[in-house]
Amino acid sequence: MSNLDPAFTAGRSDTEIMTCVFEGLQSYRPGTLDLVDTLAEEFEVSDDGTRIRFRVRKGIPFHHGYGEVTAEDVRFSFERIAGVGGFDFDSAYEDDWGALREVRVTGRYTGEINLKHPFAPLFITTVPMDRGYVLSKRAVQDRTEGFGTRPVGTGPYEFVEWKPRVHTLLRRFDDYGGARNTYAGPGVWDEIEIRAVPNDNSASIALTTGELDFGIIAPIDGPSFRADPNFAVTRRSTVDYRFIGMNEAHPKLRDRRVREAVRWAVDVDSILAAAFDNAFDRATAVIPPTMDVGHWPGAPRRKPDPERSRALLREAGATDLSFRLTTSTDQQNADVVCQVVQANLREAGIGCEIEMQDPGTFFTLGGEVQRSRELFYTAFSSFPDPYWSMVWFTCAQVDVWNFQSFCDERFDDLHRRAARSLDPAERDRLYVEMQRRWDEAANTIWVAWPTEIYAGKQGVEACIRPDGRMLPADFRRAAT
Amino acid sequence: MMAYALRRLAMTAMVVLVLLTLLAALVHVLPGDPVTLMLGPQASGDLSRLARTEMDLDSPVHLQVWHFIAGAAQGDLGRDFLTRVPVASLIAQALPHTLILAVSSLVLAVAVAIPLGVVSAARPGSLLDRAVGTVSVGVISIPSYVVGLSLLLVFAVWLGWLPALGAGALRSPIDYVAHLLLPMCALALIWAGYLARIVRASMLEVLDSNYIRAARAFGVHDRRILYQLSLRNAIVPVVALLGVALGDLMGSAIFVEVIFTRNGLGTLLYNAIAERNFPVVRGAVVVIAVLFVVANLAADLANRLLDPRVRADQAG
Amino acid sequence: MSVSTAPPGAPSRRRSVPGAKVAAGLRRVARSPAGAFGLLVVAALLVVAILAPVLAPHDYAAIDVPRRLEGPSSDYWLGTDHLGRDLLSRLIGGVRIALRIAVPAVLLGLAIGLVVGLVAGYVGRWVDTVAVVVMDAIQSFPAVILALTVLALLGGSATNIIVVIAIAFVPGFARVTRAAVQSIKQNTYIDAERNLGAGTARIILRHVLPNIVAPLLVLTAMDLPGAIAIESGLAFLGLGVQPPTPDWGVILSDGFERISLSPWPVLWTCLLLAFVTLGFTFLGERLRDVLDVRTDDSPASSR
Repeated sequence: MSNLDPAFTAGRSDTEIMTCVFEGLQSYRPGTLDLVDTLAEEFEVSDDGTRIRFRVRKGIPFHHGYGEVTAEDVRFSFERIAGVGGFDFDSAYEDDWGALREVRVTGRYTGEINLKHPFAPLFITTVPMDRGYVLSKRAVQDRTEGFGTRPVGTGPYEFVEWKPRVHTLLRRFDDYGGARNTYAGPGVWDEIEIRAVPNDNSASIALTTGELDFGIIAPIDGPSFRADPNFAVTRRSTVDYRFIGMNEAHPKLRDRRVREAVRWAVDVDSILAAAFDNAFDRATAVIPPTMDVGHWPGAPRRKPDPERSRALLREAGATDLSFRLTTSTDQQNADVVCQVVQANLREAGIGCEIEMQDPGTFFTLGGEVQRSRELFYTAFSSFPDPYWSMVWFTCAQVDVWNFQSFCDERFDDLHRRAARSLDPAERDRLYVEMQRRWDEAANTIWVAWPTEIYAGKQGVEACIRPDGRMLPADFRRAAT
Repeated sequence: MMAYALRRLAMTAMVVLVLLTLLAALVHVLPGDPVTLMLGPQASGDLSRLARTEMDLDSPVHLQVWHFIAGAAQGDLGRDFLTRVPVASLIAQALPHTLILAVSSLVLAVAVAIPLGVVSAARPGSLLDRAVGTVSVGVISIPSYVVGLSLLLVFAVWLGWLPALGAGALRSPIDYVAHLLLPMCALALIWAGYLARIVRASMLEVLDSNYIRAARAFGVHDRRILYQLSLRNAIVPVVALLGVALGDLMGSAIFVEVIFTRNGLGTLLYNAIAERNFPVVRGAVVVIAVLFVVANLAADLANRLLDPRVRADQAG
Repeated sequence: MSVSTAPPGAPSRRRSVPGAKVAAGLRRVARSPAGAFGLLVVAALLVVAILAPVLAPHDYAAIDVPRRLEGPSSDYWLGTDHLGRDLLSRLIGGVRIALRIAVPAVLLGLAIGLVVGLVAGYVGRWVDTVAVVVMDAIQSFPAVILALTVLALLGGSATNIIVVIAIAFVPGFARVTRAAVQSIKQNTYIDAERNLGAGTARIILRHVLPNIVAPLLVLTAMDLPGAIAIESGLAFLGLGVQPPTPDWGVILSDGFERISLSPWPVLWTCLLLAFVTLGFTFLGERLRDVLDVRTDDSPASSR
């Protein structure tokens, strides 16, 4: 955990903690992606998708004595992230509310959200998740910088303490306002402790000693936990993706034939076997089948063909080619992935030097690090809407998160249209076409759509969102 | 005696000082901005500024060292970069496990070595003596991690008699000892071999000495008493070595802690280096250095106290 | 800390043909089982190092993922690692890697130690005191920790590793040289020579060097396994090895991470390392007995 202020969160565990502490106007029904009203008693979207009229439930208290939720708190929470209405924020998540023009407060509990243009992801991911949480205006103003480490929300659990690298402690909020009562109960547990664990190995150990009740384990430990009657194992696919990218802007990779040659050399199935024990599905594009919209079933699933690589290289006049393959040390089994790629490239007559970089260096955005990037292996996470998988690969993100330096105007145009369309079928079409263009650019070798493997003590019924995130607030004691 | 002790103390302080300067200076040899390397791109301006001040990166090297020492004297060893936890508390959490490991290994080594050494000296050239000799040479030369991995392989993986991972919970002594057994044996084995040889050589020397001959001449024929007398003198070099042993054990402890996934100073250092968490690296290395020089010093002083011959030898 | 430091044997004036001496010496060494074993190991190592590409049945970098983590089979005599690479070929390849670092490191340590010992022993006074203190400090400080810290900051390039390991062994060589110089200094025969006008360099060359050849040789033999052990140890901890280099330490650490899936990588590598270190150590011990040398052999210097 590092920062629980929705405007600034950094880690995935932040998300999971926040689901216990905060609530938004709407939420997902636990374990699904179906939208349900939570803090909102009424949530009406206009036909053109640019106006949302809402009414907040009366009498919902904030934690730590910060009073009742009002429409003013809603306005404050959203305008703050968007950086409008007098807020001069620098939130990395401005995009979520990028379409916001203003939130008009029409009564103590009522208001209207006005958008500049329709924005599909707003309804699917922004409002029900992190950026849609309603914060207490007074609490944020009181705690200013410290809000991120002492958050105040309306959720079934309130924040108690955070010991860095050790744990975050939450306690049941006894005065819980009941916004979730129509679809989920109040807090079942007296206390929830989210432990910081350095890696999957330690989690496995802690589970066996009983220090942890529930946690993420490495794929390799799956079988042994499954065989143990004291534990229950759950698999959940995520919307994350792992890939090998090629920096188009680098002189060695400017020629598309060279990039295709590299793509034909790599044996993805070997990578999946050697690095992940075949526990993950092979990725063929950026959107996995678990996303409702945007999956491209016809995406090519290439088998390695070193001869074809050599032919392409000859055609491109690239001889004595050698690359630097970089990855970050915190990436699971990245060294194995890289070694397979190195061996694959060798068979096609391409040299490869592996460079493991610490995350600070690897994730340096822009600058010399980006300019010198050649081949790289990394993983990105996403949210349950294709927008969030695509946005990082637009022209605007070159020199930022677009490590491949992929810039295609038509791709950007499709992306804009898909964000503003509210028709799922049309969005699906557009996203598939985007992935087709992406495949033609040949700057990415898709590796895996990872699944998250959880192990928990028998007797604890876990609740996990379809995108793989835990919902500790909705864990239940299993019926005996 | 006092003067000697002070002199040694001064020298060891110097060693630690040199080490600190080395560490401080080396950070600047790194390519790139140390702060970006440490904190990564997500670091806000505020955090970077904080890191710079905390690590004193803009001050000249000697001032950096001075600030660190001044702080260390008050128990402040800096703060972990990524989480702002005081390094002193991280070390305080890890140190007990390492100390328990080191001390128990030494105790085991001594407990095994002395009888072996005595018995070898009693029958020099016998089969037992030669066997002990060969085995001890063997374990001395084989790297500590090879010994550790072999024990892991045989007793934890293959036979499954003992746990392979972790340090066990301190509150459950039996569990803790079960987890301690293999790593302890790995470390003890090496030093047992060496100490046995020392004890043997020392015993042989003493048994042959005028002191013992005189005792015999005076009618002391009981073997047991002779051995007791000899042993008391033969122990002296062993004591001297314990200080060295502790230092050496710290080096092997890193391997053993990693191999048996024990949390301790070694694992702390190893992880900190992998994460480039410099305050922790600095703190851990300094603590290890201080520990071992103190142990060395204590052993050296004990040696001088116990052995009047040494004192006479080194006067001047 | 020294247990039994004694100056090396009396100054030798034997000047017989070096070749015959060496042959005779080898025969004496081989007479004991330990010595024979040591010679065998060293010889085998040299043979493998020279003939590695010919001896290895497979390319050590060639992967075969479907056959990863297998035990011994007809294709892969010792089994495979986590990428399906032949363990035997990788271990054979590792011989060159190990020697390529260990030998220069020990030789460098010898060279530096020689100089330091000569200067300290000859000049004496405060230079000597400083040298002794520094050498003491280096010798007793755990080499691995020093190496780890320095290499982590400066990077694990081959040169850096060689230098760091060399430094760990300098004190041993310096001590031997210094002791020899000091004993020579006390010899009145030398004073006489000096009075007759012979230069310092001549004195050193004529009297000191022949005396220290034996102990230095023994120390080299004893330090080589230590150098190999440290280098593999550093690789085991993850420092400075570029894949797919078949460094023994890397084979060990890859194998250790998957030890419950396949014990073979760890097993074979441990056996090999044990043999190599034992072989060199037995050889060194036997050499010491044959050459009648008494030196300080603290294990702290070889860990």
